Parts: sequence; structure tokens; C-alpha cells
Amino acid sequence: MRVWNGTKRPPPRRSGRLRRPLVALVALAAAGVLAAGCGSNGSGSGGMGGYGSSGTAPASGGQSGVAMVSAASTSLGMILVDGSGRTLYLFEKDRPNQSACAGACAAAWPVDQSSGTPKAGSGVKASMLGTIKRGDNTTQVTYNQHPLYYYQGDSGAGQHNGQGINAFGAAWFAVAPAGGAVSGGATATTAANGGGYGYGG
Amino acid sequence: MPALDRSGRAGAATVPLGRGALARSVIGSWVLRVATAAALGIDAVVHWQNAPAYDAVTGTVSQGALFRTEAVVAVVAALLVLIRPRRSSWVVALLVAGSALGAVLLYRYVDLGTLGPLPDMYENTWQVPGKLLSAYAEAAAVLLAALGLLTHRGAAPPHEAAGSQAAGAAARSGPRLPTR
Repeated sequence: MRVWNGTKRPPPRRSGRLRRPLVALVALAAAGVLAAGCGSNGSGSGGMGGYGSSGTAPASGGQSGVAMVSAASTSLGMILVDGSGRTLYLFEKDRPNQSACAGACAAAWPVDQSSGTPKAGSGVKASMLGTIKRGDNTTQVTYNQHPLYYYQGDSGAGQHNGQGINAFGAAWFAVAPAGGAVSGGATATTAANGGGYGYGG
Repeated sequence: MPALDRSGRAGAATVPLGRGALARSVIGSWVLRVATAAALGIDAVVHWQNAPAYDAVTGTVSQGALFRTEAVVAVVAALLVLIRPRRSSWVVALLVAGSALGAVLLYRYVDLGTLGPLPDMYENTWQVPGKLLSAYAEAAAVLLAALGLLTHRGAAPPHEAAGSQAAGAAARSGPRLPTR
């Protein structure tokens, strides 16, 4: 074993000098990412939490009131909105009158709740409106047997940022007054003509 | 007297650590390890909490199962970095965080459909609880683990081994700061 006598110059450590700028650079980048991460809670997702709650779910259609659903003209065409004009969505993974969205999913896509039979506004067929009881004992509004949701990425009336998004294993679409999903600017896919539920993908 | 390199400056890696430098080294090492573990911990918590919502996204394995696996592996990597800060531990942390970051970015922007046993995990939104925070944490963990690797020394130089055992242990366990 080598014994260090303290007088001879130690072997140069090439990596030590070369590494210093790299270390500083990586440390700076890490600090930047950490700072950015600390400010990332503004995505509307409530940061790490938000589970089991509706987060910033819109007040309209909440458990304390009766939901209103009406139709509004948008760049997507006529779509369903709530009483305050917020876009309502359907989830392709849902089965008729059965929601497949809970937990983190329901935090990202808050359910349209109602304390009673929802009211039909203009352009909406009252016969298609209904409700289902969810696992957490809340009541969710349905339209043509589609459970209805909001999208956390919509901050107000007239927005439909959730249109066509793929999340939690299936796509999300705005809902046409006829009862089907809206695809782009035209009504498409499920039960477009007001017939059956029609989950044909 | 400190050894000098060719430019006449004291060679950081060859100078015995004084008390102040040693203290900074130990503190720096712990800060790096705790920060890396914390970033991996955030990654683990988000994946564990979100897993139930992804149980229905299935291939041969479900996305929920993959999320739980990621959470467990991230916790293991965090513990390794905290308890056993060796080069291999930093490599594990780097791989775990890097693979998670790569996956979330890939499936955020590219629709791969089902891939072998993997389910279709395409999700073109950040509007999922904790998703963005988790991605930032993974990126931070990648950088911190890389920093850990860059500053890690496998064994203390002989002149430090001749010093106190505490100094040697500190040098092995983490980065050493240059002397001034």
C-alpha cells in the first residue's frame, strides 16, 4: 500500500479541474428547475394535492344547487355549457350512466354536480338530461347517458381547452345538443343523432 | 503547504480539507442528498396518489401498476442516496429520475399507442394533479443526481486518510469543496 509522505507533489487530478465548471453549470440548472418546480402549482391542478376533491371546480352545478345545462354557439359548433357558460365534456371511457373517472381524474375533470334534477336551458333536450349517483355519494349530471364534466384547463366561459384531449386512458370531447361528442367543428362519434348511447369508439 | 498545480493555484482535489472546508463539504453533501431524495420523494408521492385513476388504462400491465412501481423504485433510489451515497446510488437515482422524466415527456407529446406490454399512455395535457410538479421534480432529480455523480469521490486521498476518520468518512460520502 502506498504511503503518502506529504512532501511529494500528489498526482494531478485531471477531473477535478475539468469538473468544476460542469458542476457549477449542473448546480445552476438544478437550482433553476427547483425554482420553476416550486412555482408550478399554478397549473390549476392544485400541485400534488387535490385528490378526492374538485379542486377549483366551478361553483355552478355544485352540490349545493341545481345544475343548469344549455347550448351555446362556439367555434366547435353548438355545445353544452353550464349556467355560467362553461363548457361541459364527456369521457369516452365512461359507460352509459356510469362514470369511469374518479380520484386524480375527477380532480382534473371536475364532475358537473347537481342537488336535484338539472334544468334544461335553451337548445337542450330536457329528456336527455339526467343524473347518476357517484361512488362518493355526489350526484353527477348526465346528458344522453353521458356523465358530464368540466375541465380544469378552462378558466371561464367560452373556453374549450379540453376538447380532444387524451387523458386517463381515453379522449374527452365537448357534447353536442344532439347528445354525441363534438369532434373539431363537426358533431361526430358517439350517438350523434340522438339515438342510443353508442360507445363505438 | 498546499500542493500547487501547473498554474500555481492550489489544486482543490489535492489539498487537505480544513475544518471550515470540511464542514462545508459535509453540509454540501447532505444538502445534495436531501434535495435529490426530496425530488424523488415528490415523484413517488405523485405517482402513488395518481395510480388508482390509471388502473383502468391497461395493456398487459396497467398504467396504475407502472405508476406504483415507479413510486416504489423512486423511494428506493431516494433511500439509497440518503443512506448509502455511493456512485452506484447516484447512478440509480439518475436512471430512475431520467426514465420517469423521459416517459412523461414522451407520452405528453407523442402518441405511441400500445407498445408491447405497455398500455396506451398518451396524455396530451399537463392538467393532471401533480403531473407538472412531478416532471419538475424529476428534472431536478436528474440534475442533482448528475451533480452527485460529478462530485462523488470513491475513496479519500492518502493525506486525508491520515487525518481524522471523520474527515475521511465525509470525503467518501460526498462532494469536497475547493479550499481558498
